[in-house]
Amino acid sequence: MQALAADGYRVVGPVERDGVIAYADLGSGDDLPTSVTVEQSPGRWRLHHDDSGHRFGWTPGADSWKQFVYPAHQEVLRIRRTDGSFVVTSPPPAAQPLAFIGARDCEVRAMAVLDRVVLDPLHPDPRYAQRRDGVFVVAVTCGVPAATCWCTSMGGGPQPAAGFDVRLTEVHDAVGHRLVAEAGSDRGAELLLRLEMGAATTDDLAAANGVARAAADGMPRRLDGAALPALLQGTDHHPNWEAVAERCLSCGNCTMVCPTCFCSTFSDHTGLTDDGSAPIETVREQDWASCFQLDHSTLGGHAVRATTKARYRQWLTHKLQTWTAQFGTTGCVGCGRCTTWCPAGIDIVHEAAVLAGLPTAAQPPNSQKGSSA
Amino acid sequence: MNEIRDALASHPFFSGLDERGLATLAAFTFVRDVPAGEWIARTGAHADVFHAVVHGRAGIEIHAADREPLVVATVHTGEVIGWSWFMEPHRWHFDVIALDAMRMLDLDAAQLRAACAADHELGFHVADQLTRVLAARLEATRHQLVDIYGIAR
Amino acid sequence: MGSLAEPLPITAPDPMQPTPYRVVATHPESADVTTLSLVPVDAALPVALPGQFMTVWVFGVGEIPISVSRMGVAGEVLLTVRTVGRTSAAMVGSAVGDVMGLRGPFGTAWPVAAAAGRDIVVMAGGLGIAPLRMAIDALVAAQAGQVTVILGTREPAQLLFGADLDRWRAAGASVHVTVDAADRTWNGAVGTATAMLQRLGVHHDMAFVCGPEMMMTSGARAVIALGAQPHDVWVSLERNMHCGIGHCGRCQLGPHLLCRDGAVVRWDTVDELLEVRGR
Repeated sequence: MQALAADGYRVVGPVERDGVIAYADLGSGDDLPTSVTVEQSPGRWRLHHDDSGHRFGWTPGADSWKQFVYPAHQEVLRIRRTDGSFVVTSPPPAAQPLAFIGARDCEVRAMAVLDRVVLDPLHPDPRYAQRRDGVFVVAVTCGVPAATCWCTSMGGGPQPAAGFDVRLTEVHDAVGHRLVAEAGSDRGAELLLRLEMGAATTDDLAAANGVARAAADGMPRRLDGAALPALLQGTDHHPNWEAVAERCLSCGNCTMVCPTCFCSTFSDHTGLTDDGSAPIETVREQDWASCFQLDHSTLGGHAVRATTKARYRQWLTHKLQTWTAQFGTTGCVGCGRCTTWCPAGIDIVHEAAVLAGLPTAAQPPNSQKGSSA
Repeated sequence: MNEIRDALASHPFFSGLDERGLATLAAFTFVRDVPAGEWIARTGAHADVFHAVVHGRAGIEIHAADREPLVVATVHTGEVIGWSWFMEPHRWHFDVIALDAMRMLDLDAAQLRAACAADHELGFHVADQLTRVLAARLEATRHQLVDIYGIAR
Repeated sequence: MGSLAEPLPITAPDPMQPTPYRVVATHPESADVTTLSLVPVDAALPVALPGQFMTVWVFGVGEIPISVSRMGVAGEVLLTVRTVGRTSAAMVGSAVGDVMGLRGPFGTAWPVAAAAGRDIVVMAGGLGIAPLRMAIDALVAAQAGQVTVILGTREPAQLLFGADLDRWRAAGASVHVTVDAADRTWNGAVGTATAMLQRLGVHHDMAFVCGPEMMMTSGARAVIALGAQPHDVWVSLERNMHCGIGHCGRCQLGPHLLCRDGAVVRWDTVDELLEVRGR
């Protein structure tokens, strides 16, 4: 981290804050959550401490890396009236490139999914591109999946396969407790060389792969994600939409915690002037929006999806079905955030299975559905 | 008589009828020319004639004291005017006016109803054709009702 | 898309940035519809294809998507707008010399080239004639296959582009106008565009349909009932196209982002979606 900071990166990563794992600026390795485990189930997220000394024994909270490259609120541009026309200025770019510490495979893939949307070749978002440009990714193998995790069903695994500069795997076996680091890019390799750590042995690498394998085998939720786009065809009138709508609060939490949700609002703000003269400047801003908002989609001023049923159907089918047609990838990486952070405990895996006519996935082993305070 | 038969056979409403059906209808069908501006039917009047338009254009008009008379549909070459003659109480519900000089085939409604009752093949043909007219008018009416070109309510 | 760690080049200008255009003429079309003629203050945006739309930003008021009604010379853009909300009211009420910000053109175009040599019916409802104007211009100019235009509107006073209708007729198109209601001075048909199509009763190889969604649904089904293939019928669908570039997610209709994959879409790709309430 110090080497990355010295190279000019703004280093961000996990911290324990207010009882959750948040992503924030890091000073040193001491800022990382240590001896922390996390318990997740539909509608529930709890942080616990142990004496393991593990650095990455936790699973992510509501934060995702999206907030750094696609912030919840940002200034897009300023438009200033001139005599007979107007001029447009852009906000200054970020001073430092970003370095992400501890990105899980689902999060690395989520960034790639978001790239496909916001950096589409025809109309790439220059602000996103500027922030995204040259992000240094230190990924970490997930050793302990949460009970809401289902990444292996959505085309991932607990071990990042691509999209990182350095991949860490935390190994704690008979040999000892250590971080096995592997380079995924030239600059990753260069960094590792500079740090002069001991070279990983064949046994170290085997142990790291073993951690990934054990995590994959222990993945609590399984569903044939690749088959979902086809299986969800023709489910528009499935009674389950109505059943979910009876529980769904239409609060939009699932969309706010989702690492791939990109829907947004552009709004122009024209300030008043001190002297009462006509305003001359407008600030165009962009904020995250949600398909659970009544006015998200309108036609002639009318809400297109006037019911919670219609809005939940839009959310789930977009994530698991229509995203593929729109952007060539699935819209879901299987991180489980939408399920964990749903105040009603609505479980996307369960609902998708019911709709798709698949055997409903087993409830997570440590599920405490209904008992959350 | 053959002229009437041919006129019936070439009108879309009656096309597909067999010779027997055409001959039955020809016995109580008359050709009538109507100048522009002449009333073809008046609201409340006895609907004793079924009009099939050979050429020209008629307007179906609705009127009330609180507004100007409004043409709500036009009837053109190859189409028919109304179905009030088919059902009790056999009274017109709208005014119909010739907007152009028109030629029509006028069929005596009482004899047509009797023929339909006596010959169900003929009766089905007439009912089938009238249903198509009704369905089209109903869809049009619904679109006019929601005022699709207006600002959505 | 390369590896995540690779730099991503910035290849295009900011798609959210409006470009200044000046109003050089206003043409009132009816009581609440006006066509604005706009020319670029500096550089022009790319030429819009028939059926594409642009967003129009009015300082301190708002930004709305508007279909391009026609392209003139030297980057002139004609936009036909009806007073519905604040921004459209500001546009209708604008004066020569006013400056507005345009973005675009966005979205898909009517597949005019695919109509070569085929009999085509163009059905327009109300203001839906505006996005079809350039397409009809191109179709009659190509003079290949019979071009039939059916124009439906609410009442005679709301008929738009009368001069265009005469020109299209003179160029060989068969043009039929019908209104929802009229007094007896109206020398044309009263009824829906669909009813007019059914009255013509002939097969068309292809159809472009644009108007209120109900009118398009009815018209598309009627064209198909007369023998057209569903994949030869094209409609122009609208939702709140907010950003125009597929980044705000608001104009989704199933697999379509209508600002990007529409507004002009093939009927068979939307038919079933439109049948579902709240889709």
